Amino acid sequence: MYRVMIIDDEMSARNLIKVSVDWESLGMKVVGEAGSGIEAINIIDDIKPDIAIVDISMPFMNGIDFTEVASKRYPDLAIIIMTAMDDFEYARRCVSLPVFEYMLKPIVRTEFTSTLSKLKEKLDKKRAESMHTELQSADEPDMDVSTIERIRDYIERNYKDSKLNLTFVAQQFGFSSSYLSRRFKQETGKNFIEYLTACRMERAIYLAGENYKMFCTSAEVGIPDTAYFGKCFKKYTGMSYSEFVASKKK
Amino acid sequence: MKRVQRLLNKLNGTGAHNSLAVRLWSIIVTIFVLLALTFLIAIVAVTLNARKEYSARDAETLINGLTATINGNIENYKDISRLVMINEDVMKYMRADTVDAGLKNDAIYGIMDILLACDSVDSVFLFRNDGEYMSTGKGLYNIDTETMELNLWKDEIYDKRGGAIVRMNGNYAVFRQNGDQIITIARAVYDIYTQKRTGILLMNISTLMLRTAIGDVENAYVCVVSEKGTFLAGDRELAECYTREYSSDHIVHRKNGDGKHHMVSGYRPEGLPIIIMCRVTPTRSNVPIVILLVLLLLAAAFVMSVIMIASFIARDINKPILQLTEAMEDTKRSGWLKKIDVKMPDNEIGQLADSYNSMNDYLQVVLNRLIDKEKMVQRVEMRVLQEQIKPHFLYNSLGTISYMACEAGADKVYSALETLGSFYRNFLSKGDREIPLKREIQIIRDYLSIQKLRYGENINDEYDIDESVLEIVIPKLILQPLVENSIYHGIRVKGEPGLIKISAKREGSSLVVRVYDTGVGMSEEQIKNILEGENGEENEEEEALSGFGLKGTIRRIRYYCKDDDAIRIISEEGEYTEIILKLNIKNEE
Repeated sequence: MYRVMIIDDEMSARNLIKVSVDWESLGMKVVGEAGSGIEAINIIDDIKPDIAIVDISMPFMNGIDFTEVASKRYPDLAIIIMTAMDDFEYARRCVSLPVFEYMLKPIVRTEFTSTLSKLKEKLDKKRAESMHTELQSADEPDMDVSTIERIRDYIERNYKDSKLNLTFVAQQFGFSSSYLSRRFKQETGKNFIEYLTACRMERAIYLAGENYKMFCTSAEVGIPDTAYFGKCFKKYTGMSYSEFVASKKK
Repeated sequence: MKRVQRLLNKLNGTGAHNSLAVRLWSIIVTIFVLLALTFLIAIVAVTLNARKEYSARDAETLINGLTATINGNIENYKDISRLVMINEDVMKYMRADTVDAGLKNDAIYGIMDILLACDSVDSVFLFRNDGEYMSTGKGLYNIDTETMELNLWKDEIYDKRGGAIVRMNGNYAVFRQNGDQIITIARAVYDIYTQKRTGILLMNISTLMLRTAIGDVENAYVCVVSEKGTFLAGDRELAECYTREYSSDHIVHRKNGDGKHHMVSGYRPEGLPIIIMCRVTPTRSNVPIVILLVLLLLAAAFVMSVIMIASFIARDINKPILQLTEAMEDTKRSGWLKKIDVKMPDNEIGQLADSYNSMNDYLQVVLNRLIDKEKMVQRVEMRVLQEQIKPHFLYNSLGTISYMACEAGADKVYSALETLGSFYRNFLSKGDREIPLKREIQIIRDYLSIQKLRYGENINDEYDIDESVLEIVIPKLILQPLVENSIYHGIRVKGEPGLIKISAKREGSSLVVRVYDTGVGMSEEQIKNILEGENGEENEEEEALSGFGLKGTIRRIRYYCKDDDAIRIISEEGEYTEIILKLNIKNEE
């Protein structure tokens, strides 16, 4: 069963993809969706998709930028780019990107299904090949407490970078993301992403107290996608940003 | 005039535009006419002038000769008169104090002796100082004694001393009774011994002397008149031409007013009371043949040079210009900017052709620039149009509505929306002008399935597309309008369920596509109208109203293939229509 992530700023478009394809018969499952490239970067380590279906035109971080970042960090991720015709200039830019297929919007089920089944064949083959190699490369350098400290320090200094995520940090420090994730939780009691978000939210709370507008704050803390920022903020504080600002004023 | 023009055009073998040649020929003809006229005038002038000079010279010779003869005769008579004067008997008669018949008779006989040999002397008069006179000779005379006694006349004679003067009719004092004119030689008579003047002698000479002097003259009329114009001898008619102007001490040539404009010359010899007139008749010998030959030669040389210049103009200027014009016309007819490849002489006309060619090159460059510009403008306009269609918005909206239909369980709605989305995606095709055949087929499939939704079971479609032709690139939207035409003007009109069949296969280097429908068909006339209908501008408005239309599509196909036979229509009225496209395969992807 391959894990599929849909990244599109239009909810109805994501929903249409979800309902118009018979995923199960293809051996696939939609495991997550994101409304922007920013959100996708943040949650992709949790979702761990095999396939990403990415719309090109999205605010804050478009499909091309996302593909550029994601293809470096997740070399095994298969990316399908969705595009309407006037995105042709974008599509031209991503010719050099390792993209499996470009699909024209609006989607036609027959085309879409045939593309996905081709992709499945390719992934099946690849998976069969890499079975052995994965088992052998299990050795990891040991990670001591000071390293964790250094990573925490790195996060606190760099959380403003909207492209920061677990895999990126792991690659920076030379660990596998799964190892880093496990060790990080052991040492700090928090998920990597939880920790990163907490850092950002603490800063956001401070800025909210300073009466910053939400879009300024969200950009300042590294989540320029205001929708996703709102979601994170509410989850962290239990209040929406505007409510929080209002309560602070009293 | 028109006929001449036509003839000239025919001669040059070209149309009416060839006015240079016409001008050339008319100029040549004019030159010839002028030349002929000038030549004639010159000949006449030279001949007349030459004749005049000849005549004048002849006349002068004649007159001079005659004058010499007459003068000689007169001198002769003067000598005779002197002989008379010194005759013994005459001297006795003149010397004697009183005159008697004896003396008179002696004198007469003395004179008669002397005059025996002279036919022309009519008479001799002797006037003594005392008024007595005697005469001898032929004929009867009237003597005007009063005039005779006039001092002036006598003084004149006396002034001459021993010399003689010549007068007409005794200075108009002595007349013959029969009216014959006489020439009188008058002199004073002196006694040879005493040297005393004893009287006057008048010797009257008849005009016979003049007639003898004139004698026979060839090729001329000659006459002698008195100083008053009275006819004396020679040609009587000529005498009528007398005017006072001939009474001159040099020879006078005058055109005479006798209606024939002959030239008459006249001269009054010095000391004589007569005028010699003559008219020379022209002879062949006084036509100036040498001068005429020279003139003829000059004219011939001139004609030759005109012909040479004309042929030069015709061969080296006119003909190349005609060729040039023809080449240019050829270019015009062909509709393309063609270079002149006719061989041109290596001169100014060749340079003209070269300039024309280089201008053609330049025009081609400008034209290409214009075309490029026009293409760019079209592309930009296309972009603007597409911008207006906003496909992204359309597609996303279709997607959203599709999801809504899906959620509501309206599967048919979702299918229809999906087909519509697919149709527009291919139909707009990012503004590509050429697309693979398979996409055009997809457009038709989508179009027909939407049409089928609209018209139910009335339309069936079948496809017979060869696998190998799917990727062949064709101009976008050349089949869909044909299918649209089949529905609207074929099947729907018929009102029965219809079939549309699309087939495509490769035939040699061509792609053959057939669009077949079981509609009402077309008559021969309709087919002809569609295929050969004027591609004029007037149709464009009509086309704009009825969409791109069948004719517009045909024009596009022909333009794309650069072949008028790229499209054929076969039909049987009431049964079927089949449109067959034969497209040359340009490139495959």
